[in-house]
Amino acid sequence: MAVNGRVALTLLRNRLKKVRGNLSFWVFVVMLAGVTFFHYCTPQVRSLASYSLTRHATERILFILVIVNATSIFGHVGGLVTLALVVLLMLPRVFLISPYPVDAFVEVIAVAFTGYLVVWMLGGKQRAVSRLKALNAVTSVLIQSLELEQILNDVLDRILEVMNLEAGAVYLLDEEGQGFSLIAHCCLPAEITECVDGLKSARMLVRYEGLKYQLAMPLRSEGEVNGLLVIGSPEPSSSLRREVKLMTTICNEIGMVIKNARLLQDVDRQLQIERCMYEVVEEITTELELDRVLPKVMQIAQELVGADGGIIALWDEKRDVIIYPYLHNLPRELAEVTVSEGEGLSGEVMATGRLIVVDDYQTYAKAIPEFVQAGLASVVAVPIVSGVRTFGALSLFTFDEAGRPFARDLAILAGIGRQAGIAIENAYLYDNMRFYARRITRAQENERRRIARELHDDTIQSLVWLSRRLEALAASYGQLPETTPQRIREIHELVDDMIQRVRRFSQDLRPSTLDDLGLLPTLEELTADLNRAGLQAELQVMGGKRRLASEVELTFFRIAQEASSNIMKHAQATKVVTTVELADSAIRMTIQDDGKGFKPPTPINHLAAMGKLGVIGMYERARLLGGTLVVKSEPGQGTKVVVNAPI
Amino acid sequence: MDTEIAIQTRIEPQLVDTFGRRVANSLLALATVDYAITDGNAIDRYRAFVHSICSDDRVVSTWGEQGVARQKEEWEALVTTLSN
Repeated sequence: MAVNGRVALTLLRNRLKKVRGNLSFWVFVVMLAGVTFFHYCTPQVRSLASYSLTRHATERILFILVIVNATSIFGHVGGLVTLALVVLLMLPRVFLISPYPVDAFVEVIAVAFTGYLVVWMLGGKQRAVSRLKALNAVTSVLIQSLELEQILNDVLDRILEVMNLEAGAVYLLDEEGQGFSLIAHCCLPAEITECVDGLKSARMLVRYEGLKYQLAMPLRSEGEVNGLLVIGSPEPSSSLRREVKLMTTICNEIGMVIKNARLLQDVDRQLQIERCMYEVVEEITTELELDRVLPKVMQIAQELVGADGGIIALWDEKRDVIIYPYLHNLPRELAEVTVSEGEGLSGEVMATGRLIVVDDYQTYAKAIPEFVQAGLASVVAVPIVSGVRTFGALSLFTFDEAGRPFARDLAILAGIGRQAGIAIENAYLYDNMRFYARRITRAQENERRRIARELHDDTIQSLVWLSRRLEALAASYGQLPETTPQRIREIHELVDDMIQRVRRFSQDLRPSTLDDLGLLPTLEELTADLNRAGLQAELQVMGGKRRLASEVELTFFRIAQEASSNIMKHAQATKVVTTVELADSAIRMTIQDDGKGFKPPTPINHLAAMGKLGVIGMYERARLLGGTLVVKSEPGQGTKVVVNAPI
Repeated sequence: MDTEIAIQTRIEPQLVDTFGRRVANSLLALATVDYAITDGNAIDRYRAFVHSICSDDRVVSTWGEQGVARQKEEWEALVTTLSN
């Protein structure tokens, strides 16, 4: 009781402090003093008429106006205090002055009763209006956005404003129900706001002496708690005790907004997952090099779950060990680590084919010391599988956040693991295909070389012999009829032409200069052929001239040969410049013409559908070397073929 | 030694040992809400905290009703002795 009395006094004192500078307060004081004065100090007027009792009744009724005024200024409590004061002011006249004390006492009781009714009605109305205003003010903040942190900060400020309080905080329970985060706070000490453990911070706050008078309420939605609101002040506050129901309504509204904002976040998250899966699938379907696909897939997965880094472990069939060829955000030396089958987290995942989440890698029984030393904390590992075959494991980790919840990402990570498995399967199939394509190309080139040699060593020699004999026969004039030499000369010319054609065919099949002298002299011959065909052709060589691996020389010659053939057949060009740049570990060849050009399709594979198989052949030959080929062309702008390959 | 120390040194480790980090965190979060919204002194809040944990279905299904009652008594007694 003593505490309640102290609280009420403090409240009144606080309220008085606030209204002291208010004009209404002084109007009230003047009214109270005036009516009191009129009630006691008018003897002349009182003796003038026989209305003294009635007039005193009027004064008593005027006291009701004072009570009304006090209620409107000070509120419900102020009205009641004024009522008590007014009754006290009227009693001396009742008992000491009035000639009709019983009547006067009845009037005072009537005034007190009416005054109480007025206070009750006015106070109730005021409270209802102020509650509606408060609710409206808070709701207007809540509907402004669905950005959770922003909303909670704004709404806390607004609640403190309408409740006339100084300090408060909003804690949010994370979606996994794993802990609190302090999202918004006002006027709280650093020991509470900077406490890393949200649960501990919340418990510290409710015990905080600086917020002795406080109200803590759960933020609920559909019966589930999703946060906590704590507001208060170091001094007693009437609103805290009075507005519990209002705050319950507000907290339920905030709870609903949190739920909606999270639903929106879920939708965004779903879109992000779809985008990531699309990127993964696109990466897998457009790239067949594992060294490019797997790091990219790992990066996408890492971004999706917000991990600090990633590891891809693969089973090395040659050495019978697990290797870690792809690492992100880890020292490169860790790529040298190998472990036996079934060892380590990746080994366990590969052995069981199941996804595993490790809350704290530092205490994980199968942890690999090198990775422990690297500081891995939470880790999630998924198998990389395709069909029934397990190729390895994809792991994502955090450095300093043990117990990080990966739960909501598990399904999508398992999906990414399967996509990575498909990528590896595709890459293996592509490697096999490339191996066979290389073998077939080599066999084709060997056959071409054999035919070219056969033509050169046998067919052309026979034709030369025939040509010589015809020449000798044509020279034996006199022994032949008159028309025969002319016919023999004609046959001789025909045979010479055949020799040229077979030579050219043999040269095209496999130029002997390519095997004997190398790529650059063969390209010079090709340039000379273009010049002979009426074009203005030029060969430029940059870098150290030298012989290259026969496969590289052959590939570049075939690409140059195909490009030259296309220029002669289709380009209507006048000028061709072939540039060869030789670096230490790579070669680039550019063939540019000033012909009519064309619009290359995207992707380049669509050339096959257009019947341009020659360009596809060039492209595939470059890929077999591990290189790239780019065709740049625009109608009317000529065509440029650029081929790069490692040497 | 106060109720906070009892929570951190006795209740939390015991929950983590029994239920694992994830479930323990969930129990502690809901118990902290009850702790915060309870009107009263530190002991009252602590009792609400313990009650929240001990009335959770996951705890009851693991420890059984008798086990939960025993544990609740033990935790509450702990604070009573600590506070004395």
